[in-house]
Amino acid sequence: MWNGRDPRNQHEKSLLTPLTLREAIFFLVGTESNIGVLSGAEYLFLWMRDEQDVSSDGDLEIELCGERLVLLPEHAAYRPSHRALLVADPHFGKAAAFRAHGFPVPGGTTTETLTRLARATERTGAESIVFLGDFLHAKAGRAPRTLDALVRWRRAHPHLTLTLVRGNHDAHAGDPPDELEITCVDGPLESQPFAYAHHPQPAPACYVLAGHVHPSVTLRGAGRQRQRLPCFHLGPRVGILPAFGEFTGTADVPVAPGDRVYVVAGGQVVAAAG
Amino acid sequence: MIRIAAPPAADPLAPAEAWFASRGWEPFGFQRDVWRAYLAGESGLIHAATGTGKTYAAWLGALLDWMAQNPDASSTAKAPPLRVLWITPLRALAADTEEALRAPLTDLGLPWTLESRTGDTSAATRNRQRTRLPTALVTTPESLALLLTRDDARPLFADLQAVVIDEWHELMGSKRGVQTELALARLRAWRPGLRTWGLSATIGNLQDALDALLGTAPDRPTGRTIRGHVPKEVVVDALIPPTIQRFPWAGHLGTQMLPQVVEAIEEGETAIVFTNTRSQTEIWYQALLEARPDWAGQIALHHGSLDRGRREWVENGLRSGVLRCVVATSSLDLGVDFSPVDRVLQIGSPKGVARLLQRAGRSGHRPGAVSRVTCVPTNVLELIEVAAARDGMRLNAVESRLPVERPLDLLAQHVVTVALGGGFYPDELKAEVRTTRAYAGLLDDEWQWVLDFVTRGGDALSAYPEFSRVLVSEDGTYHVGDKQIARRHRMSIGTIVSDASVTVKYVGGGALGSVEESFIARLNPGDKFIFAGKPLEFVRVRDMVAWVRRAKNSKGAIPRWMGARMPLSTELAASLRGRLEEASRGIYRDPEMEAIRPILEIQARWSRIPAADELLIERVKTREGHHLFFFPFEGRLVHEGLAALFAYRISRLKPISFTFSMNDYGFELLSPDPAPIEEALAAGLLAPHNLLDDVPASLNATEMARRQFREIARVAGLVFQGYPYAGKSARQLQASSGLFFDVFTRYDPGNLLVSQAHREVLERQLESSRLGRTLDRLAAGRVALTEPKRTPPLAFPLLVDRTREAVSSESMADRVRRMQLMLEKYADTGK
Repeated sequence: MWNGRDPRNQHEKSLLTPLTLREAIFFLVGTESNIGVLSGAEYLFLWMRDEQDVSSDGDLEIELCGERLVLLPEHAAYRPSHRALLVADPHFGKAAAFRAHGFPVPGGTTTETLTRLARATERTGAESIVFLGDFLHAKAGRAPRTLDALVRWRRAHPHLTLTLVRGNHDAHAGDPPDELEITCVDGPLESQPFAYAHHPQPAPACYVLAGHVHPSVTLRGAGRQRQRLPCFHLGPRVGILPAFGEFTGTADVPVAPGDRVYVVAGGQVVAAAG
Repeated sequence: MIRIAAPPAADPLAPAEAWFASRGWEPFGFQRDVWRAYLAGESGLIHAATGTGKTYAAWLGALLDWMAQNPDASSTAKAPPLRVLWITPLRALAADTEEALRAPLTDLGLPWTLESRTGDTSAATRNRQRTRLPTALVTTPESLALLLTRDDARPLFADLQAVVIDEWHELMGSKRGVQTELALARLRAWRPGLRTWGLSATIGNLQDALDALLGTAPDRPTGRTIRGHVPKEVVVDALIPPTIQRFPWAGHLGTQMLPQVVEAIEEGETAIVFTNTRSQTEIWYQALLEARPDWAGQIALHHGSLDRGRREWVENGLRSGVLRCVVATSSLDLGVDFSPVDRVLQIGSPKGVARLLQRAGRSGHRPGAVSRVTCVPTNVLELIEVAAARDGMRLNAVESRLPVERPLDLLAQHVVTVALGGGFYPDELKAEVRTTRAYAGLLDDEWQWVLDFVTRGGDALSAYPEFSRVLVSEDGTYHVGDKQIARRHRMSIGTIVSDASVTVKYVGGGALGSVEESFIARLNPGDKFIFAGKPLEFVRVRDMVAWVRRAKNSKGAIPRWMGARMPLSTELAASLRGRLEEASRGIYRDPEMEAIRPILEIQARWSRIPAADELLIERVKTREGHHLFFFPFEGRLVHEGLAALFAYRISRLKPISFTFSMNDYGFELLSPDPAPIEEALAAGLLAPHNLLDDVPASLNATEMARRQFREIARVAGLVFQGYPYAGKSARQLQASSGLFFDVFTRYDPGNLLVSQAHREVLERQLESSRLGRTLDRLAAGRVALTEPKRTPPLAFPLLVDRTREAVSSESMADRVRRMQLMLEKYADTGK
């Protein structure tokens, strides 16, 4: 049955397989989201897709300030005009920081985050990546194992230009190691008509693309069905990207009339409002 | 002070007898039984209603024991070291307990010291207790666990003679009960002859209660189950509505009975009006004030979300008789005597026999008085429950408290506690833990997993040297080395998880209590709401404090608190089916059944009154679609599971979609097209097999498990609420339990805490074992399928309840009124 979770999860897919779609849908019929466009059945379709299927038809191309922007189900945005991939809040080393303090976070999150980053880069053919802050999570997260994984990744992708617009975590955790060859700047970093920043604060004469918030929205349906999904949240002057890191939480954001919200659900980016 | 002469060697009970006599009392037989058993070194369980002398049965046993060993002690002698631990489930009860225990100490001139140690204890007292504990300590399971984390824990308890656990029935069905069991096992390992005495209300499974208390070690003492004094008659009656609506609907708004309630309160000196939810408490308090403005200052309200100071004020007011009436939730179910109370009212369904008995027991503490509880139906069908509850009491069919089976989150917490409290050898600790009832069946794999979890973060984490929580020394002992981990563990001991709540304070100062964050999130500055019985205006929220000021107008929203809605108990449900069986044969005993007779007669005329072995299914077509109403009478949790299960099973026969609603009596499946119910019944709709596959498949079980994981993550120490004044570095270590659940599910599929979450959902939220028993019962019985032309009375609340999900309460009321009107007309004219 629809288990309200991302099918990336191999472990849970077994629950889904014995059911036909129609058998599964009855639960959700009558479900209309408060926010917008998706019906419960559509969600179900999304959920039942496999992450392995992520391909260009999971992308959503939008126009923002007269520019094309491709929203990727990998939790990143691609800007074709600059061949730039925008990635917010990867929080590398967060799991390691937790472990160092005695919280048992299983391994594998860094690898997964890097795999996704590679996939997004390769699919789009991006030549550069701009990180919108919080590259490293904490000082305690600078574990050798984590940093090694990052360096190996960098060696496999030597031609990419990497830029980090520093965020609040970077201030504490410190800049990435030099071997990663990441140019670090304090935001906002102008790239008309946009400005790249960590904190979602409006800037003069630019539309700000930012992170920090880890935005999500909760969609509700009949029978007290609820589903919280990470999203791209584009307001009038600031647009916020979902958090990229595998071991990161989300925070529900208030959505004002006129805002555009695109949720990431099972390998696809879908308009939920706007 | 009375001086008791050195007792004649022949009668060691003499001092207690004399103390009772000095108070003008005569000991009950059971109290003498306990004293003798205590003196003989025995342990046991004393069960009876609250306020019947259980406290002094256990306490004077301990005092007599000491006096027998110290016949010449004077009151000026040095206080003996810790001898008796007295565990209470609520820290709010600690002060009252201490007061009750102190009286004989003073009168008998014993040199004992007596103190409390709970979350409310002052730093100064704690400091003093760091060097020396009193002779008798009143504490909570959490504070006891905290004592066990001290590295000098063992010498602290070197002279411990007995542990008394008060209100054991309240603890034993929860993880707090398991925490108590683990602490008892620890103490018994240190003090092999330790006596354990439990004080409990009468429950259906006293043997389980005794086993949980004394453990399951092969050499454990048998233990005594002593029945306390059964004092007085318990009277259950009901306020019968003057006009019986033919079409009862779920009564969340129902203050229709207000005039009768006011009258009932006037009859007595002091009354407690019990409701089932905190919101209802606020609603009824406002209603009473509006009906009788002259009672301002004489009535009050009491529920768990109010500030402690306010609650204490109300409790004192009840005790001293200053208050005429208190509207309360289960927050007043426990605790010491409120002697002046002579009238108890129960608003809405009593839900269970034991609960109604307990509430009745709050009244009639004066000599010769009877305990009486008057039920106030908020929906006329509840009248049947009143009659059924009376049957249950007569048959002594009180509910059981099901103990929790081997929760691994709590075991992980306990292992760290013991690692802090002097360290352990794994095999010894495993053996010790297995002497508890909760972990008697602990598998070696599970134990090993918990050990791995605290030492290496689980078997998936073996390769991460940076992880450490519990360390293994060269000599094979396990201990905690890191000070920060120790501190964090001490701060997060316990098993109680509260919802994110916001403290409500006046701008001018003064705390009122707390409400859920989600309620405050919906308010805008200037909005009015009612809380703690006061109309308030919301000013702003900052740092988890909602600042308010008094509002003039008494209208406003009333917060609703999340919280499990208690289902009708199995025992009461069975009695209820018995009453309906009688009605199906035309027998209406008692005033409640007489009153509801017209409604049941319509039910019989339009459809059928189900016999006890019959599952009634009603098929009704309305403009909304095709309804199927099922009436298993098993409580709403079971019905929720059954509704999903039946919808799932029917949908496998034919493409169809359903929405559903449920209450304590039955549930409804609504579909746009007719459902093939006959075919489904023939194909095994009621079959009990495949339950564990079909139930999770039919519900959003993973999402439920994810929510359940909140408690588990907190107990197992995955999620830390943070230091009160946490700096940035602490905040970097905060992750939600949901995030942990996701990460474990994906990267550590063998994680046993995740399995536990799934299991807890099945057992606790869906009551899967009760669901299985229900299906067994239904499959063995008959099915009566009727096709009424209109919705009959039993189904009507379900019809209304479902629509409630979608529309606001205001238009809801109008809509319900219209629907009622239409149906009323039909009953008068049509047939």
